[in-house]
Amino acid sequence: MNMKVHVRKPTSIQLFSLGFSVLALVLFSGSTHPLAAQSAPAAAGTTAANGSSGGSTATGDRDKTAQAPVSFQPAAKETVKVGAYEVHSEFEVGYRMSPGVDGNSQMYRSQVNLFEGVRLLGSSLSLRSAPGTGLFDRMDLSLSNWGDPYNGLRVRIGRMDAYDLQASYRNLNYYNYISTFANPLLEQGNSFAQHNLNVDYRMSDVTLRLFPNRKIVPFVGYSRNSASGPGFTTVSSTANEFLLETRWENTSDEFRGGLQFDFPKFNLTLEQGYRHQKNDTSVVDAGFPAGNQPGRTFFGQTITQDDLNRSYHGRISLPVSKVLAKITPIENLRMTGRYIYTMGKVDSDLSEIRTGNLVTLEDFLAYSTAADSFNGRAKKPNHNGSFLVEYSPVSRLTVTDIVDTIDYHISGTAMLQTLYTGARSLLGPGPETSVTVNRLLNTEFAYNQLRNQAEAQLDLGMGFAVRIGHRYAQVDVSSEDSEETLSSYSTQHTALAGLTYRPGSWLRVGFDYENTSTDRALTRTDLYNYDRINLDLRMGSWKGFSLNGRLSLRNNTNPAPDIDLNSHDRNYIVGLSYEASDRISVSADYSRMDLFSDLLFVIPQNFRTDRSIFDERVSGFGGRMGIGIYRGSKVEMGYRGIISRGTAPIELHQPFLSILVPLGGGMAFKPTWQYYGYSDTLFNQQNFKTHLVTFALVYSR
Amino acid sequence: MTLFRRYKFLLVSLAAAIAVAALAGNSPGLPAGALPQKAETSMQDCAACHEDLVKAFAKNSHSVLEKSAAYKLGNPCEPCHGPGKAHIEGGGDITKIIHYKGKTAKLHNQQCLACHSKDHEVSGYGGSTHAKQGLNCADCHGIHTSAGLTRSLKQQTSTLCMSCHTVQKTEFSKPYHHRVTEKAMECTDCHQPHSGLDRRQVRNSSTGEEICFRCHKEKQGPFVFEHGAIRLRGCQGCHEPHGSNNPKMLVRATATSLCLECHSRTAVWSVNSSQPPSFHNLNSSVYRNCTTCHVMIHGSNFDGAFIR
Repeated sequence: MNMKVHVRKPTSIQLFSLGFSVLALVLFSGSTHPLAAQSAPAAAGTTAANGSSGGSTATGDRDKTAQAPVSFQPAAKETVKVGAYEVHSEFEVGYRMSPGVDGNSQMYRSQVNLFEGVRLLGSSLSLRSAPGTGLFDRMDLSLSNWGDPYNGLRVRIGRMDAYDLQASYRNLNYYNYISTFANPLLEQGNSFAQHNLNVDYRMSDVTLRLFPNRKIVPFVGYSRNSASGPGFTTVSSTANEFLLETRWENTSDEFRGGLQFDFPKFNLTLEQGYRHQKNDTSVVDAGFPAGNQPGRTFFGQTITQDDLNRSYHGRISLPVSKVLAKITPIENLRMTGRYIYTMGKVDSDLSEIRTGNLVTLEDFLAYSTAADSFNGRAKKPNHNGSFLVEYSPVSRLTVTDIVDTIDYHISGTAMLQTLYTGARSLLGPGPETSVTVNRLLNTEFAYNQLRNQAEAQLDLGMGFAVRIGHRYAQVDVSSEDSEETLSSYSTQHTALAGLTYRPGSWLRVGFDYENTSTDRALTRTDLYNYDRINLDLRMGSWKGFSLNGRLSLRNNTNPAPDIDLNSHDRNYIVGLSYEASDRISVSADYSRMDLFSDLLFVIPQNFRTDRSIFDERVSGFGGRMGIGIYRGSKVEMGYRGIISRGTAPIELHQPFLSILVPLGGGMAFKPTWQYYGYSDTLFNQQNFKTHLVTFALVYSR
Repeated sequence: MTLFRRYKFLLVSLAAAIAVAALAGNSPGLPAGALPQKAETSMQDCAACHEDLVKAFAKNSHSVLEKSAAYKLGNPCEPCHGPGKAHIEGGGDITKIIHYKGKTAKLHNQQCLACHSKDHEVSGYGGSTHAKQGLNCADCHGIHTSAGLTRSLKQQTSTLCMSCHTVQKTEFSKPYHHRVTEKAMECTDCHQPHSGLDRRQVRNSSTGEEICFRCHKEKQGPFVFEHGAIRLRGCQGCHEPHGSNNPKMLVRATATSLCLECHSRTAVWSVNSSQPPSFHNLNSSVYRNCTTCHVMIHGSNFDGAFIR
């Protein structure tokens, strides 16, 4: 069985953006640009612009070499003018080749998902003119990975005295085909993933602010999200499960508008929005009537399914009202408050017809056909408020207090009607008949949270500052349905302490400590009684060296005899970078991340207790080196690896090599090699490895 | 049309407000806290000693203070550094001008917030984790220079964040991760670096709920049958938001341990205190893979067991 591959066609906005970038590339490439002036310091500039000074790793390197345009030392550039605009642009267009995936290509798609073809790997375009002139006085556009299954576009355009328009678009293909996930047949050697998806998430957002520098700023916005694509799922029919093909079609449209008032000591933003959401899913039988457990009998019945057709429609309406206020009544007192109210309503229906030799334990019937007609409705009024006070009674002391609340209530009703035909009791032979079953289910869920955190920070001088505080959190929750009513509450107290040392911009040391005690756990894995310590060190550049490190420890326990939870989370990270000269830069980092959890759980089939232990010990390491070779030519190489041991041991290795060869006129040739190698010790059928080679042209001015 | 009728009052009000704002005489200019527009020195006076800074400043967003008719500043250095006349006449005496070397982050930030506190993205910065950790605006933003990036950032957004947040950098290197290092997303899509209102500086969705619902709207609900874990623990109860070694960015490698750690009968209120019935025999591979049957695990409108 192969999953149907969803062919992704470019949308109009993708085509527009691609066309725009190509046009810009052609338009601006005519100007000469002194590459010689750029190329000499390029190594340092690129490094600095991409973060190696802070201990860059190959995570960043991978972006840089494979997907992002190389920065040609922007600070050293001469200003390029086109008409009234100063222009800065970078484009990287290339062709990616791959010899194919050696191993599990579905896992490769689920994790990496990069393939052959022409790609606009990255581009940015920035235009500036004299403020308040022309149709726009600023424009910033950036594109990434156009042609790949995940890409983004961001635009900001405006004229300082008239408008500010920000827009973004993202397209993320969520391809998930993992044999080991929820696959009951894996141990029988069937590696078909029964729960998989190939869904395209497309998210766009645009906000327009008018007269952004005035005291009254109107704004309007619109967001549209969609998620659509095929997948596989299963349906459980007592004692057997059957494979189904499914297709998602979800869209959401959100409109909003409001006013922002800016006065010397008072800012107020009022916003009203409305969202309309459509969730449509169609499900059909995938054509395996014997199901996952062929020949399985239940009360003497062999369970098979000949056909299933399901149609689900959900409609959600959600008005949103927001208020944000900032008040500074006196110089050393600031107050900020935010309130959001929503009223979500869902109205949904499901119709399904299934045929076969089926049983239902709930109604204690064997039947040949069932027709479901379900309707579900729910509403959720939600209040969300936050209020922050910052007060400095004396210059060295700052007191902050933040209160936030969440309060919502969900009430739902489901009306379910099922018509069984060819039905008879499971207890024995009898005449087949038609049975109609009606159910009315009501549910209530209420949640109320209050949190208050008060802290005082004292500047001790000489770069030292200390901080102490207390956090109080309280949650009340209740749930009610036709069978039971439950309610509970929890209160939590946390002592906070911190110390920072910052003698100058070159060094920052931070230490934080939290100690929390809780009177009652709402879930068994809650953070209950825990200590948390963070130690951060960041040392700026000294003779080309910079260093950062972090130590983070958290121990959590819940001594309740039926839980007996002990867990810890320990991170040790160090990163170094060294810029030996304009031509050579090196960075490396190492991180060790240990996650451990041990608690009691109940084995369902015999109600005996056992321990659930999760142990993950991750070593992450990476490094990169950039070497300027000759007349601006540059080689970058790096590696990023993850080695995890414990409950689920895996390894992921990602080395890369990139060469940048200036061609003149702001152009450069950039071949890049990348390797991805993934191995899973317990399920080696998941392993894959592949090489990607990209030949790109980079343009920068 | 129904929508228009329902919200026509709002739309008409909004249109009226836009018209009023367009016509109103509320002149733009420097906000409270900034220095007067008249200056006794010029930027060229500063350039006599600080030529590199002045040159670089021309490409920085702050150059709008000089270039824009809305501000008309005689010397755009002075809003941050104060009147420069005494400093110049004193032969560059550093005590006669506002400077930031060796000064606290609070002083840095106060100076920036004098103008920028009205920005809708800046909400109670003093209460934020960044402020409490002693970060000042210049740690991330190039006040005089920038690398040609928006908002005068010193580096591309996510690279800048990960230069300090190294744990997250490693998490984004794990096999299953949000596409941040691939530049399809940015840290600031989920985090608000200037907010003191949001815990851990994680944004809310537009409806005030978890930011995950900004993209994963189909999982937001409301549902007739809510999965209590989502409401009590949030999405992070089951998922690692940055990256994970486990499929679907789960916090556990297998569904069995993930689900049964909560779904064990205890005295804890728990997720409806539900204990899987005894026919869930873990010796069978079907029952070790909970979502084989409980496919609507984020919530259902028809089934309290999340099967449809």
